Amino acid sequence: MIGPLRETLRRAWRDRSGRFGAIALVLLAAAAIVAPLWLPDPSQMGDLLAGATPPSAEHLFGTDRLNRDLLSRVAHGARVSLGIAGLAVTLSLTIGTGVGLIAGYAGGITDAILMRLVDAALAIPRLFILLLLLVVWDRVPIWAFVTVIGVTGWFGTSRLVRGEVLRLKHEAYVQAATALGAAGRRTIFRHLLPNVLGVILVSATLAIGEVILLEAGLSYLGVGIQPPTPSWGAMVLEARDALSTAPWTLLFPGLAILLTVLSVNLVGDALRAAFDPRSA
Amino acid sequence: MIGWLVRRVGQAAATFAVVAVLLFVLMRLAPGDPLQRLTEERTMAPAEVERLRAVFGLDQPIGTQLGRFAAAAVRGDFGTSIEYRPVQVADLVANRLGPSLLLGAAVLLVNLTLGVWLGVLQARRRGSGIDRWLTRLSLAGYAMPSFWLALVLVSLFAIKWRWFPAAQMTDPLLPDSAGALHRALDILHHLVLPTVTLSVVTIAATMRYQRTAMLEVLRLDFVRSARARGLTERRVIWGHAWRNALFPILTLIGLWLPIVVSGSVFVESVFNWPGLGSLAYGAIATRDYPVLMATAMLVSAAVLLGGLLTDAGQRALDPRTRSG
Repeated sequence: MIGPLRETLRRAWRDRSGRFGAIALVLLAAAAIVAPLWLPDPSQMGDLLAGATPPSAEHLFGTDRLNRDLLSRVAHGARVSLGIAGLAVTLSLTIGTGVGLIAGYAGGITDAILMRLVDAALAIPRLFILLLLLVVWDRVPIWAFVTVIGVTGWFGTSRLVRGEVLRLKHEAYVQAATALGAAGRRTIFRHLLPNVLGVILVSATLAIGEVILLEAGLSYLGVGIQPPTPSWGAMVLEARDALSTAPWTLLFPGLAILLTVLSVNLVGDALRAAFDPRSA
Repeated sequence: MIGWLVRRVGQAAATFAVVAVLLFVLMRLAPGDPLQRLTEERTMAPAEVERLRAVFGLDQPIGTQLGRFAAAAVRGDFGTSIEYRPVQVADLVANRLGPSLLLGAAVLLVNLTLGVWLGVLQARRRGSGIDRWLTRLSLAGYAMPSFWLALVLVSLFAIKWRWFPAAQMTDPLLPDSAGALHRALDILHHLVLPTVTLSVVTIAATMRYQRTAMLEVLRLDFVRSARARGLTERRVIWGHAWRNALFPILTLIGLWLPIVVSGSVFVESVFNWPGLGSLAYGAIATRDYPVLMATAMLVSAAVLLGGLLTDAGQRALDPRTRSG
């Protein structure tokens, strides 16, 4: 698996858009980690009478209406956004892979029940599931927010993994393992799991972009990350009240979301094309 | 075909029943109950709270509640809105359906014309600068949060240049004497910015599907022979090749529906468009569970219906799918 995987990654890297996305993403992540170390405290209010000031040498992105440094808030927002996306996607991939492996390997009634549930869950737009789960909190704790996003994102992955497992189950090497008396658990972890990693990797990358957009949207709707924690979606919400007086407060958080999601998706696309050359 | 259709509809109905149960469980999973919000905001005598709980059936065992909920939902009765009591949820939803469908139809129209045309253009110029830049641009649109794009368009085209109205579906100052044409133009004028927003975030999928489908067809022999017969490029592309690249677009309508529906919660709320999306948005702030439930059910039904229509369309058009 390692050999082919490396070859695939190399192929993805040769794709110009994929390379652009990967580099942009690394830079964004590095900025998210490093920049807040010397930028001013994102919740430190400045001169309240000055309010929102346009971009200047002192504040590269300007300040918001509480005179807080916008660059610092956007950089902290990147930590929040990427952190949540990483954790939530890890959670949903784990559940999705587990359910997919079980359904595909066990087959029969287990498979039928699990997949009927997944069918139904896939028919409800994720935004609505999340809204129904989130509106009970006045201020949702961050761990609950991450968990809720994570447990609503695995349906598609489980379908995908199940499909791969059904395909692989009839491959000679899996049949041979079973014929040689390998236990179910061994077949799953030694033979099936490594071979569905490719599918999982592609779906993980694309899922990160989706989750960043979802998190921003929910925070914009006021049921996600709560102020004063800086989050891109909530920053757009705050900017809504100052569209004509302080347009820069709208511009920068939105561009941050756009750039991050675009980079993630470009990487995901390059990976998909590399795993399945026919789709390019 | 009839037998298949009956089975497929049955399957969709069964899935929908599971959806309803899942949504009910989701709602009751929440700590507290839907009335908690109401009683928090105003002081109420405990007896009055008990009476309301009985009115909404919240004092019954959960199984009974599910049974009642399902029986009522089948009749199209989603109960009373907690916020707009005593207005029925079904009436609220019915009032909002038209504007949402109008916006959805406008976005679909843009996708099926501009999106299809751009996808075909990309396929014809595969690998060229145009192809690559159109892909990048459409992906940028796909990566844009719709609420942000909506606000950017409002601040430019509504606030700064005043070309289009910033909100609502009709001009409240329109005189009562205005004729039908005048009213239609007014609605069209209000429709532009929401349609542009939703189209920008959805068009990438249309373009990609059309491009892929067209590439598959363009390398087939009959296209080459059409060219060899000396037909004009336009006839080769649109008369011969494109006809055969239509299926994926059908598939797309099924896929596209949920994106538009979720996107429209954001877009309708920014533009204050009087559709289901802004109804759901309002219900978030007021924690109006019955309204959220009803919109979620309706949207899920639309998603299932979209899938059903897609499958039926493909089956009717493509004999190869019939054997399976």
